[in-house]
Amino acid sequence: MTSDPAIDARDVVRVYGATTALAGADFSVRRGEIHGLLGENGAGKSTLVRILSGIEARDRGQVRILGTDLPRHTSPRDVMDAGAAFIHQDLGLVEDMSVAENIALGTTYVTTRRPISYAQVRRQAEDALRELGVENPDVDVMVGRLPLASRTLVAIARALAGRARVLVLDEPTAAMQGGEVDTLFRHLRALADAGVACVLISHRMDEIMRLCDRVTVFRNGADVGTREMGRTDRAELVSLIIGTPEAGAPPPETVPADTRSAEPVLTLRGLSGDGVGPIDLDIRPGEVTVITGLADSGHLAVPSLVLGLEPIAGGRMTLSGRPFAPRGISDCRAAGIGYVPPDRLADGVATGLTIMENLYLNPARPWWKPASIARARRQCAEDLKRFRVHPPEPMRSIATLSGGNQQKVLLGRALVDDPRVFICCEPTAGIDVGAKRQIHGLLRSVCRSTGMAVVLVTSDFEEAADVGDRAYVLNRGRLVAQLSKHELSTAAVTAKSFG
Amino acid sequence: MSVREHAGADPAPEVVVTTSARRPGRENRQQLSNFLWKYSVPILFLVILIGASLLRPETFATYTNITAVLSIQALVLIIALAGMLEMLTGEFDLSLANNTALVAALTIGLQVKQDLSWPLAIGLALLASIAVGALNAFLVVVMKVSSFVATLGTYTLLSGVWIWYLGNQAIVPEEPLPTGFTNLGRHTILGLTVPFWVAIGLAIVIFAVLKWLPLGRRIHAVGANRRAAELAGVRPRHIVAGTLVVAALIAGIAGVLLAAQYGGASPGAGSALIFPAFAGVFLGATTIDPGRFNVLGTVLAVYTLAFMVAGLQQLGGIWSEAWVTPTFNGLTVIVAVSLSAWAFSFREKRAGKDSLARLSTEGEDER
Ligand SMILES: Nc1ncnc2c1ncn2[C@@H]1O[C@H](COP(=O)(O)OP(=O)(O)OP(=O)(O)O)[C@@H](O)[C@H]1O
Ligand SMILES: [Mg+2]
Repeated sequence: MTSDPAIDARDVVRVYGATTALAGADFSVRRGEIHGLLGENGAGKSTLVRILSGIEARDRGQVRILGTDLPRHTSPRDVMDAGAAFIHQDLGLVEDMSVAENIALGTTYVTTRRPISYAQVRRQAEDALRELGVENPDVDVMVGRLPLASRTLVAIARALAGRARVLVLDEPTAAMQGGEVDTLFRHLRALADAGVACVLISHRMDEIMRLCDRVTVFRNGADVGTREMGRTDRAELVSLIIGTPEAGAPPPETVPADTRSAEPVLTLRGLSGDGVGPIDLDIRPGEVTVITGLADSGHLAVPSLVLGLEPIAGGRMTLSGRPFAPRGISDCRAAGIGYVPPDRLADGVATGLTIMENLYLNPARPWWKPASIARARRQCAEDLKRFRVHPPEPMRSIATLSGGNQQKVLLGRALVDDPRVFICCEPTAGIDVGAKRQIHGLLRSVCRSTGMAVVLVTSDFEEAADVGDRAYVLNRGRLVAQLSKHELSTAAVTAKSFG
Repeated sequence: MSVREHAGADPAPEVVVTTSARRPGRENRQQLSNFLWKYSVPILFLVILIGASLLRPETFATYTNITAVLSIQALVLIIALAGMLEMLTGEFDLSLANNTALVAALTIGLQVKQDLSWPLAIGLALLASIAVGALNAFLVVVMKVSSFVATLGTYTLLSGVWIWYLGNQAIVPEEPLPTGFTNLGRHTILGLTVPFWVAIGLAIVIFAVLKWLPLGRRIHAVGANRRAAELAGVRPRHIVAGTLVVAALIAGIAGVLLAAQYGGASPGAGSALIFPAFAGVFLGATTIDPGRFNVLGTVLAVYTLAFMVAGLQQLGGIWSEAWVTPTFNGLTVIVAVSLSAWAFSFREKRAGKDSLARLSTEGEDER
C-alpha cells in the first residue's frame, strides 16, 4: 500500500524512572519528503528515534513504518527489515573495526550464509563512500581513528548501503562543515526524489529551513506543531521550540571590547605541525578569538598543537610574555588554560559517573587536600544552575542527560577553574537555539567581565560572526585571513575559507 | 572575579521537571525497596550471622569463633582492597596473591636461609613486591600490554621464582622465629589479631582517599573515561602505574602478615587467596554504592562470604566437605551479581510505571 505514510507514530510515551522523555508524541512522515524534527535539548527527539529504530521499547502508543505495525518490543532487525535505517546521535559505529567492516555490518556481512568475501566488503564500502562524495576513501582505517565528521559519513554510508526506504538522521551535521553538509543534503534530496522518506534532526535552523519540506517541533516530550516549510518562518519555528516568542537580537554588549590596550596573553609564532602551519596568532584577554575554517582546513589542529597534544614541528609560543612549551594538558592547566575538546562522547563525558563527578572530574586542589562532600554538592547544584544544565541534579548519572546538557557540563568543567585562557572546540555542536544563545552569552560575559581570553574553535560560521571579536580563518592548513570585529560576518568568513 | 558570579547574568529559563508522584505511601515504599537493594549484602550478612547463631549457638555464636573468622579472613580482605583499587582504574591484576605468596616465602626464607634480622627481611621482601608492581606498571603503562595479559605473565613468573627460591620445599624453622616477628600475625588487640587491624586501617585509608581527596576523583575519572580524564589534565599513566605499584605493595603486606601467622613458608602458600578476594570485590560492587567498586561493599562482601562458609562448615555432615567452600563462594557471586542486575531493571520499571500512572491521570484532568 503506497498510500501509507512512511512513519506513523501515535501517542508515544516513554518514561525513564522519574523522567518522562516522551509524553504522548505524534509524529508522521510522508513518503518522499524530507521532514525536519526540531526541539530543545532534552525534548525527546533522540528518544523517539531510539524507539522507532527498535533499540528501546515504548511504554505506550502505536508505531507503523511503511505500513508495518511494529509491536511494543520490536528488534532493530525487524525495523531494518521493514525498510528503515537510522543514524543515531552517537552514530553506533564499532571503533575497533575498519570502515569497510562497519559499513558491511549494516548490510550483507552478518546475514550472508556464504563465507565472507573481504574484497567485496571493501568494494561495497568504497562505492558507498564515493557516492557520498568522498574522493579517495580509505576503508581499511579503524573507525576509532577518524575525525568525527568522517565517522558521520561512514554511518551515513552504512545506512545508505542498506537501500532503506526510510532514513532517519539524528543530528548528522552537528560535527560537519559547509561543504560536507552540502554534499549530504544533495544526497538526501536525491533520495527523497526517489521516494525515500528522510527525517533530519538538527539544531541549525538554516539547514532545516533550506532542506526540509515539512517540520515537526517537539517540546517537553510532545509534538507542539507540524508546519509546511513554505508557510512558516524562522521566527515562528523558534517560538514553537522555546515556547515563547523569540527574544529578538542577542543582548547588547554592556562593556565594549577595548582591544587595542590589551597585550596578548598567548602568542603563536610560525607554529606548525599536524598538517597545519606556519601560523601566527595573538590571543588577547577580554576578547573572543575565533579560529575557523572548512572541514579539513586544519583549524581543529591548532588547539591540539597549542595544548601539546600533537607534536610541534616548528615555531614557538609565548604565554604572558614567557616561552611556553607544554608537554600535555596538565601543564596547560597549571598555566591557567582551560580546554573543551570537540568530541563530546569520546573525549569528554565520563559515562558511569554522576553529573557532579563529571563537573569536577579533576579537582584543581593538590592531590592530598580533602574536600567536604556536602559543600561540594551545594556548590555543584549552584554551578549546574549557572551553566543551565537541566535537570540540575548533582547525583544523577550523566548518561541520562540529553546531548546538549552533557555539553554544558563539559563547558562548566573547564570554567569552574577560572582559567586565564579558555579554549573551546565546537562548544555548541548539537545544542538547541536557546541553549546556544545562553552559551554565547556566557562566553561573551566571562570574557568581558573577568578579562578571560576566550578562544572559540568552531566550524559554524554564523557562530564565528556572532560571538567573535576577531577571527582567524584557515584553509588547507594555512592561515588565510584575519578579520577584525567590524570586518567579521558570516559572508566574509565563508568567502575567505573557500578562497 | 570569578566566572560563577557572571555566568548567572541572564534570566533563568523556564524549567520543567517531571518527577514521580509525591504521594507519601508510594514514596515510603520506594524508599524502603531502594534501601533493601542498596543494603542487600549487609542484610545478608546479618541474616547469616543470626541464622547460624540460632542453628549452632554453642559453636558459631561464640566470641572465639567470630574473632577467629574476622582475623583469618583479614588477609583475603587486604588482597581484595588492593584488587578493588586497580579495578577502579579499569585494570585487572591476576598477580596479586602470587605476590603475597612470594613475599611470605621471602620473609621467612631471608630469616632462615640468609640469616637476616626480621625487620630487614620484611623490608627486602616488601621491596620485592614493589618491584613486581613496577614490572606490572612498566608492562601496562609503557609497553601498553593489557593488564590481564601482563599480570597473567607476572603471575606465572612469580610461581617460578618462589619454586626456585624455596627449591619446591617448605621451610620449617628449626628454632622459633623472634616473637617480635610472629606477633605481627598472632598478637591480639581486643581479641582480634594484628592482620585484622591492618586490614581495617587500610580500608579506612583507601575509603578516605577515594572519597575526600582529589586523588580519589582522578582514580575514578581514569576508570570511567581515560581520554576525558587526560584532557581534563589528569595524567592517567601516572595514576594507573601508581595504583599498580601500591596494590602490589598492599599484597606484599598481606604476605608479611601471612608469614608471621604461620611462622614458616611453603611454596605457593597464599596464592589461593585470589579467588575469595575477587569474589568479595565483585560482590561488593553490588552493594552500598551499587554498580561501582567500593570499599565498604568490599569489606562487607568479604566477611559475608567468610561467615557463610564458616557457618556451613559448622553445620557438619556434607556441609563441611572440601568442595563446599569454593562452590559457595562461586555461587554467591553469580547469584548476587545477577540479582543486582535484575534489581536495577526492576526498580527502573517500577519507577516508570509510577510516572505512567501519573501521566494518565494528568491527561484525564485536561480533558
Ligand atoms: N537512559 C535514560 N535514563 C534516564 N533519562 C533519560 C535517558 N535517556 C534520555 N533521558 C532523558 O530523556 C529526556 C529526552 O532526552 P533525548 O535524548 O531524547 O533529548 P533530545 O531531544 O534528543 O535532546 P538533544 O537535542 O540534546 O540531543 C532528557 O530529559 C533526558 O535526560
Ligand atoms: Mg538527541
